[in-house]
Amino acid sequence: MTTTSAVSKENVEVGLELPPLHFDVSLTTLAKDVAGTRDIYEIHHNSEFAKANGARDMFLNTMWYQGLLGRYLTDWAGSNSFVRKIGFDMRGTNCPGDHLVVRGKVTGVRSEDARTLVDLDVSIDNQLQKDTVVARVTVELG
Amino acid sequence: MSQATLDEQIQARIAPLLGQTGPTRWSARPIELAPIWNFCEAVEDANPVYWDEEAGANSRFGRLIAPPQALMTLTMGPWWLPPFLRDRAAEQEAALGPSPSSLAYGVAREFGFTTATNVTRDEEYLQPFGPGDGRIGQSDRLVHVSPVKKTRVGPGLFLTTEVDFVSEAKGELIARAKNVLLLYNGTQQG
Repeated sequence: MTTTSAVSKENVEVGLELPPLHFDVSLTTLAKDVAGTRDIYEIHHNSEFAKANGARDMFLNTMWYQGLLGRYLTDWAGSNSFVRKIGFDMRGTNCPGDHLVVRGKVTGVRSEDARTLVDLDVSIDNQLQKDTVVARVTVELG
Repeated sequence: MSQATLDEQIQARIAPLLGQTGPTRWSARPIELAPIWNFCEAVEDANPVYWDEEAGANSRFGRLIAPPQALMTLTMGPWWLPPFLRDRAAEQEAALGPSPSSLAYGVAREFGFTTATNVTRDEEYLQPFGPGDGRIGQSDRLVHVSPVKKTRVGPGLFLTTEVDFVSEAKGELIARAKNVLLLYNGTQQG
C-alpha cells in the first residue's frame, strides 16, 4: 500500500494552509530522539548539562526537527511525494513538557522536469514561544 | 584582552581554512533498514515507502527508500568501539587528515567557546537513496566565520560550512547541506 493524497498540482496554490500537526514532547520523546538519531551530545539528554550551558532544559536536536518536518510534508503530499529541501533556523528550544504545533503555508508552486515542486514556509511553535523553528521546505509531488 | 584583539586572533587562525574542502569521510555503517525505522519511530513517521518493501516496490521509487531527511542521522558516528577498532579508526582518521571545519572548531574551543549548538541547517536532496546504496560519503567546506557576538546563551561565534554527500554504490552526489553552528561560552551568559 501507498498513502494517497488529495494534493495535486491542480489544487495547490500559493497561500494554501496545511492542517496543523500537534506533538506533545515528554522525557521519553527526548529518549526516542537519542535512539532514533544517534546524537548523544549531553545537551539533548542531560538537564543539568543543558541548564549549565544556558538552556531552559534539555532540548530536541536538529535531526529530530528534520524528521518531523519531513513527516509533515509527506503526511500531506502522500507517499509518492519526495522531500527535496528542508532548511530551518532554530530560534528557540523545545523541551520535555512542551506542546508543539507545526503549521505550514504554500509559498510557491513551480514545475521542474515535468514534476511539480511546492515550496512552503513551516513553523514550529510551543506554548511559550512562537517560531521556535522557522523552516523553508520544498516537496516534489508524486 | 579586548574584544577586538580576541576577534583578530580568532580570524587570523581561521582565515587560512576558509574555502578549503576537506577529505571525503565515509559513514561507519551502510544505509540499512533498522536505522531508517528507528528514525521514523522518533518522529512517528508512518510513510509506507520507508517501512515496507512492497509499498516501496509499488511506489514511484521502485524500492524502499530512506527518508531523505535522515541523511545526517545516517552519518552519525559510533558511540563506542572496542579498542582494536578504535585504534584502526584513529589510524584511518590520521591518514585522512582533519577537515577545515574541525580545525576551526578546535580554534574556537581554545578560546573558551566550547559548547556547540546548531542554529541553521539547510539540506537539499538530489535523488532518493536507501538500503543497498552502501555507505554515505561527506566532504565539507568552511565558508564563513562570524566575529564574536553576544548571544542569549553567552558570547560565541557562528561557523558556516557546506557539505556534499555521495552514495558509495553510485558515486553520485545525493545531497548538499549548509550548516551554521554556534560555538559559545555558556558560563558567561547574561
